[in-house]
Amino acid sequence: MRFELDVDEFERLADLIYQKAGIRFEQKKIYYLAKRLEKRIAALDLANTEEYLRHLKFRDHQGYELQEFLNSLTVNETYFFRDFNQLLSFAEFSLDQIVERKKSTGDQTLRIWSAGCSSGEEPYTIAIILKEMVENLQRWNVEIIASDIDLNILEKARQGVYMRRSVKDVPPDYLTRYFTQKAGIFKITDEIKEMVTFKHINLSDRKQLRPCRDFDFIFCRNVLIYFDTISRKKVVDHYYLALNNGGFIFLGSSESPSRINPAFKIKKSANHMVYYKE
Amino acid sequence: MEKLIKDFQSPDEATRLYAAEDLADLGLADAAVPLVYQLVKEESVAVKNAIISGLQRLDIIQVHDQIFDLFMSTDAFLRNGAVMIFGDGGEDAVAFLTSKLDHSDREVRKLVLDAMYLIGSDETLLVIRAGLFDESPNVQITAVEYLGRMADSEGVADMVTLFKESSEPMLRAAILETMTMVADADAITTILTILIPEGGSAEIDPIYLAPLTELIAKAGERAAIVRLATSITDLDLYGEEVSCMLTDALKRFPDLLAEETIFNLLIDIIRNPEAGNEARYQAVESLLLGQSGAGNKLSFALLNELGQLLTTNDDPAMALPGVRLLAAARAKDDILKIMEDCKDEDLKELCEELLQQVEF
Repeated sequence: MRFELDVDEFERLADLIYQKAGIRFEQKKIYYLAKRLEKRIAALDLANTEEYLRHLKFRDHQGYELQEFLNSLTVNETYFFRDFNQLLSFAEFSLDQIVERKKSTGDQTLRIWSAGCSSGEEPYTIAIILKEMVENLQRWNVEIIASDIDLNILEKARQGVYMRRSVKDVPPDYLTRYFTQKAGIFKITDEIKEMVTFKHINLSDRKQLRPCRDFDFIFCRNVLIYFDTISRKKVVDHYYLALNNGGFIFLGSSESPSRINPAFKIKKSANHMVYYKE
Repeated sequence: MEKLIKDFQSPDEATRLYAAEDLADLGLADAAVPLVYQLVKEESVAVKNAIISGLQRLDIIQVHDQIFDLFMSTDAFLRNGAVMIFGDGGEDAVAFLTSKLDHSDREVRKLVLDAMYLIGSDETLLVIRAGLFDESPNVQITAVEYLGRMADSEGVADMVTLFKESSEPMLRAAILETMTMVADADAITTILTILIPEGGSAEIDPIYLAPLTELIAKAGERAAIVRLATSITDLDLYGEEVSCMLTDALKRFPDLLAEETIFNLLIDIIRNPEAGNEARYQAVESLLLGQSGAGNKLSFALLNELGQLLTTNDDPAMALPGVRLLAAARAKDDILKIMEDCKDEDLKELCEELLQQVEF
């Protein structure tokens, strides 16, 4: 019998997801949600959506099932050096500004947050850029925190193993320098892996979100599309607070932080607008 | 809630911002009071913004007066913030703001309309329409613009009356633009008669020409198009407006060039170097667009003559439309010669394309 999710059930499920994860699913996504729900119901050997909802509300005290369901909902499509122009602005403009300012004050820490890191391509890309662009990087205390809501994908990210399509935009020199390759599988080197710490953070959970502070750079690209206006605002407001003065934020190319929080200022780099906290 | 209110005293920006968020998350109408109070005192843009967002989510009936006071603030951020807060205020806000429509400050009355537009209900439409009768042209213009965006076809009669009675050019221009979105044939005819009472182009103030031609092109009946186009005799000055109008009108009336007067008008523009390149370019567009409607009037000989005129003058910019006319005239040899002699790559490319597309 074909699995169906009626509108009332969809709305109850969507409300629950929104409460727990801040992700808003509109009714046009009912089919998408239904497919994933069907798998979870089968995995738990339950009869229907009603039983699943009761399970989530009353029997999933530790939140493991909710986490499984959330893992299945997030789309993990990314690759190394995605949105190259924006990364160029980071590498050639913003990074230089921060590094020079910090050198002049004797502060040699760099803290970067890749929020919604998926399978790790973005934080590892950032690590590679730091290696290439920051002179005497070994003298710096560098922390790259990479977070995601999906536990499975974080595990994959920690492995640092990728197919060819993930590395298609990696400059050939970097591919040689920072990856080992065997039978079409690319593995990031330990030198780069060790620069990144992966953490499970739900951006809608204020207890997890609010302690994340004191960053020089925050990357949150193509994550906020999952959020509604209110949730998105809360996350971006927190990013503002989480940045050090002079720190930069990078959202998706089509997203504007200053429209969400007007306290962000804009500068023009050679090929991109960049947003920062004054 | 008390703890959160105390947090507003903190020197730490993050504490105050989180307090604003958390207060709003309580969802209690009482939370609006400390939020508004803090909004007025707060220095941080980030915190002010969070407070405004929070107030947008709360029942603000208790603080209507305080938020309305922000309309008089010297801080534009607060004035706009107040508009946004009322914009989410629902029908209670409509009732409150309606009572403020007679405020002595016209800028405040404009902000009331801004908020009404954001609320966007049937009732606010009526209130905005009432703004047409405000004593200040600035408020009237704001009302007209919003009625256009809200596609208020029922307000057309009032706007036409206003157009008749007012001599304020910016207001009349705003009405013409709004009419593009909402006017019916009768309204357009009335407006045309107001602007061209004796039928001559000298009657039309140039400030109205651009919005008027746009209105007539997009929404006027065929007769109105012909009347306006043929009443504009100074083609040196207004050739471009006429050409653009006809290009748009032809999309709705493909056989418009069956009208002798319109046809001749386009030919005159193309032949007239004083009309300017843009006007002549658009006139060629119109001619080619309405070719089938023109029937026998648009012979190969005429197309060839016009094409030769444009391709053999000193202005290379006119060669492009000229070549298109030659293609329509099936003048293959002439096109080949142009392709051979010219150095302009764009022109060469167009010639190649036309030689492939057209059956000679």
